[in-house]
Amino acid sequence: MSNQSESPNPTSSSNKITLKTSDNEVFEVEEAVAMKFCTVKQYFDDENNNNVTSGTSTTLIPLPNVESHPLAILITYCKKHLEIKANNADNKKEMEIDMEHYEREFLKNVMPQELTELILAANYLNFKEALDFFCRAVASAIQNKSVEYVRKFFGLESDFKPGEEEKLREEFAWSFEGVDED
Amino acid sequence: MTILRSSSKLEPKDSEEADKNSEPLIPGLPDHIVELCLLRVPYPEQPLVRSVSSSWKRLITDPTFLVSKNALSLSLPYVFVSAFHKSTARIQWQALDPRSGRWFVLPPMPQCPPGFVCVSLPRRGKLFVLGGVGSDTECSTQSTVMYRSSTNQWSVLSPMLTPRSCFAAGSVNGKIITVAGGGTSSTGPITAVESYDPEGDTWTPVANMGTCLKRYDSAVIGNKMYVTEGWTWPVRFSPRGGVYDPDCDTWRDTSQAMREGWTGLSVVLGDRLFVISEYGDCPLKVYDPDCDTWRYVGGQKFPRGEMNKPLAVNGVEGKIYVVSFGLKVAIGKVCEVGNGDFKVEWEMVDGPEAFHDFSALNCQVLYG
Repeated sequence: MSNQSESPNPTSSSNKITLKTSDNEVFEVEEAVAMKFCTVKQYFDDENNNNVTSGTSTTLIPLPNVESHPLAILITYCKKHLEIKANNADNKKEMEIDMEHYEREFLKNVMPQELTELILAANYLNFKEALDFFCRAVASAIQNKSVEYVRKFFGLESDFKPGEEEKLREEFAWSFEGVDED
Repeated sequence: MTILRSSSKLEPKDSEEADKNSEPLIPGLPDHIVELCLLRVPYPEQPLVRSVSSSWKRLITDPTFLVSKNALSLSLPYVFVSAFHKSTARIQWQALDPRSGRWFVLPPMPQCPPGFVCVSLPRRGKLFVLGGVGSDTECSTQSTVMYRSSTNQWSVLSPMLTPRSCFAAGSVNGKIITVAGGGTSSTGPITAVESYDPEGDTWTPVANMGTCLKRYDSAVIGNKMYVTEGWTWPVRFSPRGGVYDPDCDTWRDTSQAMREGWTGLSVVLGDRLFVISEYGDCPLKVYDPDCDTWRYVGGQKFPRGEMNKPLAVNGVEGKIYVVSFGLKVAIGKVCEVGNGDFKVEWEMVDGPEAFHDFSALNCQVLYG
């Protein structure tokens, strides 16, 4: 995914906030985007930074627990989220449909390993909508799958005692029918 | 937590178990985030989650899991139906996801004496099957079994104090109340009432109803349980009934208008009692407690032509679920249109081919 966030939006006159990742990349984002990251917002509230309130210069915020790759994706997601919300301000249903459509497309470009990175970043930034979305994505990734698929997906091994697993399978036989191809 | 007598065993609390507890649910992710993910797996997929690893199984079978799911508004209602299969003479439970129309068959009950009565604690994902007539003795039994959605297992609980079949049961304030019914050959019909506390797995006798009824229907409205005889042939006497208040442990009479208008299957939505009348066009009625009168519900007519008897009914969150022969389900969306009037819209979910000769016995709604 490209780092779209670095190109400033010429039509917007709002403040810019600069985020610095653990791998020393610098992202300049709109204040509205940065404020969706509660950790960043908290930083402002705590610091009561004069530069921000004066609205003239940008502020640099270090994010020692976030790498540039997931942050770039989260910024893209956040921008789109705000855009969809603004476009459908008076129609909640339309907004949900647009958001669902965007999220479906979004997931097509996300690899399973990336999902873990994104969850950790969203969790650190305390970006609630994204965390909820990624948790839903994990939940739907395992739906209709086999036990083997789920274990492989997450790098897990069965720790059931011999016989216990067979019993579980027998007991829950109905859930193993009609699963998707791995 | 409920003490389970048979099919579920207590987890051993040895050192090996403690080691397992420290293993992450998913390597590389904090456990509380994995929990947030697994909370979003819908109930029908949970057996898969339980089979992945013992730490996953432990997480989602813990009673607090459903509490968190409820708190985050992630739990959804499922329609549980017990049905009699004519050709094999077996009773089978299955659950419908009303959003997808998919059915799931539950494991067989440990015992299923005919004439049993069902009641549930929907938010706790617990369904109780009580009493019934023992097949060997042809006498009423004290049988108490419970299904838990989070384990997908049945367990046998403390038996009722009184053997009974064909009685009234309801859940009030998290407790189960069983009322009167048929007893054994030596006791005959009984009037005894008892209350079950799921926390302590104990039954306690409470105030008797006083009279035996010919048959029983009941509804819990607020924290009171209404019991009625309904109209029985020959229609010579006005139906009898009563209302039990568990806070005061007293019975009193219900109004005559309420009893006489209770002419079919009942279901409670919010604090309103609805009845699908067994007569005529099967109109849907709602009881207005302020005016002590029944009103017809507007909107669409109940699709009675498509719904072959016997019918089982339940409801939750403004929706009535009626299950017919062949497990065809009519979902009635009820909304208030002002002035105490309601209207309904019906939507049909066809029963799967595999259930074409199943008769619905009972319908419960559980959250999962």
